[in-house]
Amino acid sequence: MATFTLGTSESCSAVLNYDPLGLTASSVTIDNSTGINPISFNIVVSGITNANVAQSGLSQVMAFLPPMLLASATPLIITNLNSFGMGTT
Amino acid sequence: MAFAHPQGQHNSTGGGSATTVAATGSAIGSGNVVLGTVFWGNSATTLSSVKDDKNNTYTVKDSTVATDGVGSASFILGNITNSPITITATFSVSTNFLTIIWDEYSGALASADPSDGHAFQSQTVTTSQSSGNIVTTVNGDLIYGASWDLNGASAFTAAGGSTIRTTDSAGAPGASEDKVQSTAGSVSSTFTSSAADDYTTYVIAVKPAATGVPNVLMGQIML
Repeated sequence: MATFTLGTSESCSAVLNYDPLGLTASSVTIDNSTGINPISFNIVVSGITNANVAQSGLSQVMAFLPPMLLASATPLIITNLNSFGMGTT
Repeated sequence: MAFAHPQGQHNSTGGGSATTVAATGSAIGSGNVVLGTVFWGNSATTLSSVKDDKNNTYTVKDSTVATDGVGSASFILGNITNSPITITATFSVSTNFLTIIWDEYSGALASADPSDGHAFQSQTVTTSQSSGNIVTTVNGDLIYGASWDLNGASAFTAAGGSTIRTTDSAGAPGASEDKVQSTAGSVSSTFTSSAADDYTTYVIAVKPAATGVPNVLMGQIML
Protein backbone atom coordinates (compact mmCIF):
# COMPACT_ATOMS: atom_id res chain seq x y z
CA MET A 1 0.00 0.00 0.00
CA ALA A 2 1.01 3.60 -0.56
CA THR A 3 -0.32 6.96 0.58
CA PHE A 4 -0.88 10.36 -1.00
CA THR A 5 -1.83 13.43 1.01
CA LEU A 6 -4.75 15.02 -0.80
CA GLY A 7 -4.94 18.02 1.47
CA THR A 8 -4.76 19.58 4.89
CA SER A 9 -7.17 21.87 6.69
CA GLU A 10 -5.88 23.42 9.91
CA SER A 11 -4.13 20.41 11.52
CA CYS A 12 -6.38 17.84 9.82
CA SER A 13 -5.02 15.78 6.92
CA ALA A 14 -6.76 13.67 4.28
CA VAL A 15 -4.57 10.84 3.02
CA LEU A 16 -5.49 8.53 0.15
CA ASN A 17 -4.58 4.88 0.72
CA TYR A 18 -3.89 3.12 -2.58
CA ASP A 19 -2.31 0.10 -4.21
CA PRO A 20 0.25 1.31 -6.77
CA LEU A 21 0.50 -2.11 -8.40
CA GLY A 22 -3.19 -2.98 -8.51
CA LEU A 23 -4.06 0.64 -9.38
CA THR A 24 -6.89 0.90 -6.89
CA ALA A 25 -7.60 3.24 -3.96
CA SER A 26 -9.39 1.66 -1.02
CA SER A 27 -9.89 4.51 1.45
CA VAL A 28 -9.07 7.98 2.72
CA THR A 29 -7.81 8.50 6.27
CA ILE A 30 -9.07 11.79 7.71
CA ASP A 31 -6.84 12.48 10.70
CA ASN A 32 -8.19 15.27 12.87
CA SER A 33 -6.69 13.90 16.08
CA THR A 34 -5.01 17.19 16.97
CA GLY A 35 -7.68 19.44 15.52
CA ILE A 36 -9.90 21.86 17.40
CA ASN A 37 -12.69 22.10 14.79
CA PRO A 38 -14.67 19.41 12.93
CA ILE A 39 -13.37 19.08 9.37
CA SER A 40 -15.36 17.71 6.45
CA PHE A 41 -13.85 15.89 3.47
CA ASN A 42 -15.49 14.92 0.21
CA ILE A 43 -14.41 13.28 -3.03
CA VAL A 44 -16.53 12.95 -6.16
CA VAL A 45 -15.76 10.26 -8.76
CA SER A 46 -18.00 9.65 -11.77
CA GLY A 47 -20.55 11.95 -10.16
CA ILE A 48 -20.77 9.85 -6.99
CA THR A 49 -19.89 11.63 -3.73
CA ASN A 50 -18.13 10.09 -0.77
CA ALA A 51 -18.08 12.43 2.23
CA ASN A 52 -17.33 12.34 5.91
CA VAL A 53 -16.71 14.63 8.87
CA ALA A 54 -13.84 14.06 11.27
CA GLN A 55 -14.68 15.45 14.69
CA SER A 56 -11.92 17.24 16.55
CA GLY A 57 -9.66 14.83 18.39
CA LEU A 58 -10.59 11.90 16.15
CA SER A 59 -9.27 10.07 13.09
CA GLN A 60 -11.61 8.36 10.63
CA VAL A 61 -11.16 6.00 7.71
CA MET A 62 -13.60 6.45 4.83
CA ALA A 63 -13.59 3.23 2.80
CA PHE A 64 -14.51 3.02 -0.89
CA LEU A 65 -16.66 0.02 -1.88
CA PRO A 66 -15.88 -0.84 -4.58
CA PRO A 67 -12.36 0.64 -4.57
CA MET A 68 -11.66 3.62 -6.78
CA LEU A 69 -9.67 2.95 -9.92
CA LEU A 70 -6.41 4.70 -10.70
CA ALA A 71 -5.36 5.53 -14.24
CA SER A 72 -1.80 5.95 -13.03
CA ALA A 73 0.15 5.63 -9.79
CA THR A 74 3.05 7.90 -10.85
CA PRO A 75 1.80 10.54 -11.21
CA LEU A 76 -1.28 9.67 -9.19
CA ILE A 77 -4.36 9.97 -11.38
CA ILE A 78 -7.78 8.88 -10.12
CA THR A 79 -9.98 7.63 -12.94
CA ASN A 80 -13.01 9.85 -13.58
CA LEU A 81 -12.18 12.17 -10.65
CA ASN A 82 -14.53 15.16 -10.58
CA SER A 83 -13.38 16.90 -7.40
CA PHE A 84 -12.21 16.65 -3.84
CA GLY A 85 -12.18 19.16 -1.03
CA MET A 86 -12.12 19.75 2.69
CA GLY A 87 -12.68 22.45 5.27
CA THR A 88 -14.69 23.55 8.25
CA THR A 89 -18.25 22.28 8.45
CA MET B 1 -17.14 49.66 10.11
CA ALA B 2 -17.40 48.24 6.60
CA PHE B 3 -14.69 46.19 4.99
CA ALA B 4 -12.34 48.06 2.66
CA HIS B 5 -9.56 46.80 0.39
CA PRO B 6 -6.55 49.12 0.57
CA GLN B 7 -4.33 46.95 -1.64
CA GLY B 8 -3.72 43.65 -3.37
CA GLN B 9 -0.28 42.40 -4.42
CA HIS B 10 1.09 39.50 -6.43
CA ASN B 11 4.32 38.11 -7.78
CA SER B 12 5.57 35.00 -9.54
CA THR B 13 8.85 33.35 -10.36
CA GLY B 14 7.28 32.12 -13.59
CA GLY B 15 9.28 29.26 -15.02
CA GLY B 16 12.30 30.16 -12.90
CA SER B 17 13.20 27.95 -9.97
CA ALA B 18 13.46 29.30 -6.42
CA THR B 19 12.73 28.48 -2.79
CA THR B 20 10.87 31.71 -2.05
CA VAL B 21 8.36 34.00 -3.67
CA ALA B 22 7.53 37.44 -2.26
CA ALA B 23 5.22 40.31 -3.11
CA THR B 24 5.78 43.85 -1.87
CA GLY B 25 3.26 46.64 -1.48
CA SER B 26 2.72 49.66 0.71
CA ALA B 27 2.73 49.45 4.49
CA ILE B 28 -0.14 47.36 5.83
CA GLY B 29 -2.43 49.47 7.99
CA SER B 30 -2.60 48.97 11.74
CA GLY B 31 -5.27 46.50 12.78
CA ASN B 32 -5.84 45.21 9.25
CA VAL B 33 -6.07 41.62 8.07
CA VAL B 34 -4.20 40.02 5.15
CA LEU B 35 -5.55 37.04 3.26
CA GLY B 36 -3.75 35.28 0.46
CA THR B 37 -2.82 32.22 -1.48
CA VAL B 38 0.32 30.62 -2.88
CA PHE B 39 0.91 28.19 -5.74
CA TRP B 40 3.83 25.89 -6.46
CA GLY B 41 4.60 23.74 -9.46
CA ASN B 42 5.98 20.56 -7.93
CA SER B 43 4.21 17.95 -5.81
CA ALA B 44 7.49 17.09 -4.05
CA THR B 45 7.61 20.59 -2.56
CA THR B 46 6.07 21.56 0.75
CA LEU B 47 5.20 25.05 1.95
CA SER B 48 7.51 25.77 4.90
CA SER B 49 6.19 29.15 6.03
CA VAL B 50 4.52 32.42 5.10
CA LYS B 51 6.11 35.41 6.87
CA ASP B 52 6.55 39.14 6.34
CA ASP B 53 9.44 41.56 6.69
CA LYS B 54 8.41 42.32 10.29
CA ASN B 55 8.66 38.60 11.14
CA ASN B 56 4.92 38.09 11.50
CA THR B 57 3.90 34.49 10.74
CA TYR B 58 0.75 33.91 8.69
CA THR B 59 -1.53 30.95 9.44
CA VAL B 60 -1.96 28.45 6.62
CA LYS B 61 -5.63 27.44 6.67
CA ASP B 62 -5.93 24.92 3.83
CA SER B 63 -3.42 23.26 1.54
CA THR B 64 -3.50 20.64 -1.18
CA VAL B 65 -1.42 18.90 -3.78
CA ALA B 66 -3.81 18.27 -6.63
CA THR B 67 -3.40 15.15 -8.71
CA ASP B 68 -2.02 17.43 -11.43
CA GLY B 69 1.17 17.41 -9.35
CA VAL B 70 0.99 21.05 -8.29
CA GLY B 71 0.29 22.52 -4.89
CA SER B 72 -1.42 25.54 -3.37
CA ALA B 73 -2.51 26.91 -0.02
CA SER B 74 -4.47 29.72 1.62
CA PHE B 75 -3.26 31.88 4.52
CA ILE B 76 -4.42 34.65 6.87
CA LEU B 77 -3.15 36.98 9.58
CA GLY B 78 -5.32 39.52 11.35
CA ASN B 79 -4.73 42.57 13.55
CA ILE B 80 -1.34 43.39 12.00
CA THR B 81 0.16 46.38 13.81
CA ASN B 82 3.80 46.78 12.73
CA SER B 83 3.45 47.96 9.11
CA PRO B 84 5.03 45.17 7.05
CA ILE B 85 5.34 45.69 3.29
CA THR B 86 6.60 42.35 1.97
CA ILE B 87 5.06 38.91 2.43
CA THR B 88 7.21 35.89 1.57
CA ALA B 89 6.33 32.23 1.11
CA THR B 90 9.21 29.80 1.66
CA PHE B 91 9.29 26.25 0.29
CA SER B 92 11.18 23.08 1.17
CA VAL B 93 13.04 22.77 -2.14
CA SER B 94 13.68 24.92 -5.18
CA THR B 95 10.61 24.88 -7.40
CA ASN B 96 9.33 26.67 -10.48
CA PHE B 97 6.07 28.54 -10.98
CA LEU B 98 5.99 29.88 -7.41
CA THR B 99 3.27 32.50 -7.21
CA ILE B 100 1.80 34.53 -4.34
CA ILE B 101 -1.30 36.70 -4.18
CA TRP B 102 -2.25 38.67 -1.07
CA ASP B 103 -4.94 41.21 -0.23
CA GLU B 104 -5.22 43.63 2.68
CA TYR B 105 -8.56 44.54 4.28
CA SER B 106 -9.64 46.94 6.98
CA GLY B 107 -12.86 46.45 8.91
CA ALA B 108 -12.13 42.97 10.27
CA LEU B 109 -12.41 41.77 13.83
CA ALA B 110 -9.22 42.71 15.69
CA SER B 111 -7.87 39.21 16.18
CA ALA B 112 -4.81 37.34 14.94
CA ASP B 113 -7.25 34.85 13.42
CA PRO B 114 -10.61 36.51 12.63
CA SER B 115 -11.69 33.64 10.34
CA ASP B 116 -15.22 32.24 10.47
CA GLY B 117 -14.74 29.12 8.35
CA HIS B 118 -12.56 28.04 5.45
CA ALA B 119 -12.33 25.32 2.79
CA PHE B 120 -10.89 24.35 -0.57
CA GLN B 121 -11.97 22.25 -3.50
CA SER B 122 -9.93 20.84 -6.40
CA GLN B 123 -11.96 20.23 -9.55
CA THR B 124 -11.17 18.63 -12.89
CA VAL B 125 -12.19 19.92 -16.32
CA THR B 126 -14.56 22.73 -15.46
CA THR B 127 -15.22 26.38 -16.24
CA SER B 128 -17.20 26.94 -13.02
CA GLN B 129 -14.95 26.86 -10.00
CA SER B 130 -16.20 26.56 -6.43
CA SER B 131 -14.46 26.36 -3.08
CA GLY B 132 -17.19 24.16 -1.68
CA ASN B 133 -19.56 25.41 0.99
CA ILE B 134 -18.77 26.56 4.48
CA VAL B 135 -21.23 27.66 7.16
CA THR B 136 -20.49 31.03 8.74
CA THR B 137 -21.67 32.07 12.19
CA VAL B 138 -21.60 35.89 12.08
CA ASN B 139 -23.60 38.35 9.95
CA GLY B 140 -21.58 40.61 7.68
CA ASP B 141 -18.57 38.36 7.09
CA LEU B 142 -16.10 39.12 4.32
CA ILE B 143 -16.01 36.10 2.00
CA TYR B 144 -12.53 35.93 0.48
CA GLY B 145 -11.87 33.54 -2.37
CA ALA B 146 -8.93 32.58 -4.54
CA SER B 147 -8.58 30.17 -7.45
CA TRP B 148 -5.69 28.68 -9.43
CA ASP B 149 -5.70 27.20 -12.93
CA LEU B 150 -3.64 24.04 -12.46
CA ASN B 151 -2.93 23.12 -16.05
CA GLY B 152 -3.85 25.93 -18.43
CA ALA B 153 -3.97 29.65 -19.09
CA SER B 154 -7.45 30.70 -18.16
CA ALA B 155 -8.83 34.16 -17.46
CA PHE B 156 -11.01 34.46 -14.37
CA THR B 157 -14.33 36.19 -13.85
CA ALA B 158 -15.87 36.67 -10.41
CA ALA B 159 -19.15 34.88 -9.76
CA GLY B 160 -21.77 34.75 -7.04
CA GLY B 161 -21.77 38.49 -6.42
CA SER B 162 -18.04 38.78 -5.79
CA THR B 163 -15.53 41.34 -7.09
CA ILE B 164 -12.17 40.32 -8.56
CA ARG B 165 -9.35 41.91 -6.53
CA THR B 166 -5.93 40.62 -7.61
CA THR B 167 -4.78 38.46 -10.51
CA ASP B 168 -1.49 36.95 -11.61
CA SER B 169 -0.80 35.42 -15.00
CA ALA B 170 2.99 35.28 -15.01
CA GLY B 171 3.01 31.85 -13.41
CA ALA B 172 -0.04 29.66 -12.98
CA PRO B 173 -3.05 31.89 -13.63
CA GLY B 174 -4.68 32.82 -10.34
CA ALA B 175 -7.11 35.37 -8.98
CA SER B 176 -8.66 36.55 -5.73
CA GLU B 177 -12.12 37.95 -5.11
CA ASP B 178 -14.37 39.02 -2.24
CA LYS B 179 -17.92 39.79 -1.25
CA VAL B 180 -19.79 40.52 1.99
CA GLN B 181 -22.31 37.98 3.27
CA SER B 182 -25.06 39.95 4.98
CA THR B 183 -26.61 37.01 6.85
CA ALA B 184 -24.62 34.13 8.32
CA GLY B 185 -25.10 30.70 6.78
CA SER B 186 -23.89 28.51 3.95
CA VAL B 187 -21.60 30.25 1.46
CA SER B 188 -18.85 29.50 -1.06
CA SER B 189 -16.44 31.35 -3.29
CA THR B 190 -17.12 30.84 -6.99
CA PHE B 191 -15.47 31.89 -10.24
CA THR B 192 -16.03 31.28 -13.91
CA SER B 193 -13.13 30.81 -16.28
CA SER B 194 -12.38 30.95 -19.98
CA ALA B 195 -10.97 27.43 -20.29
CA ALA B 196 -12.14 23.99 -19.17
CA ASP B 197 -9.12 23.18 -17.01
CA ASP B 198 -8.40 21.78 -13.56
CA TYR B 199 -8.67 24.28 -10.69
CA THR B 200 -8.21 24.57 -6.96
CA THR B 201 -10.38 27.19 -5.25
CA TYR B 202 -10.21 28.47 -1.68
CA VAL B 203 -12.55 30.36 0.63
CA ILE B 204 -11.94 32.04 3.98
CA ALA B 205 -14.70 33.91 5.82
CA VAL B 206 -13.59 36.83 8.00
CA LYS B 207 -15.60 38.23 10.88
CA PRO B 208 -16.31 41.97 10.80
CA ALA B 209 -15.13 44.37 13.46
CA ALA B 210 -17.37 44.50 16.48
CA THR B 211 -19.72 47.48 16.22
CA GLY B 212 -22.44 49.14 18.23
CA VAL B 213 -22.86 49.82 21.92
CA PRO B 214 -24.09 47.00 24.15
CA ASN B 215 -27.71 47.49 25.15
CA VAL B 216 -26.90 47.70 28.84
CA LEU B 217 -24.51 50.58 28.19
CA MET B 218 -26.97 52.28 25.87
CA GLY B 219 -29.50 52.23 28.68
CA GLN B 220 -27.07 53.92 31.01
CA ILE B 221 -26.19 56.55 28.43
CA MET B 222 -29.86 57.36 27.81
CA LEU B 223 -30.44 57.81 31.53
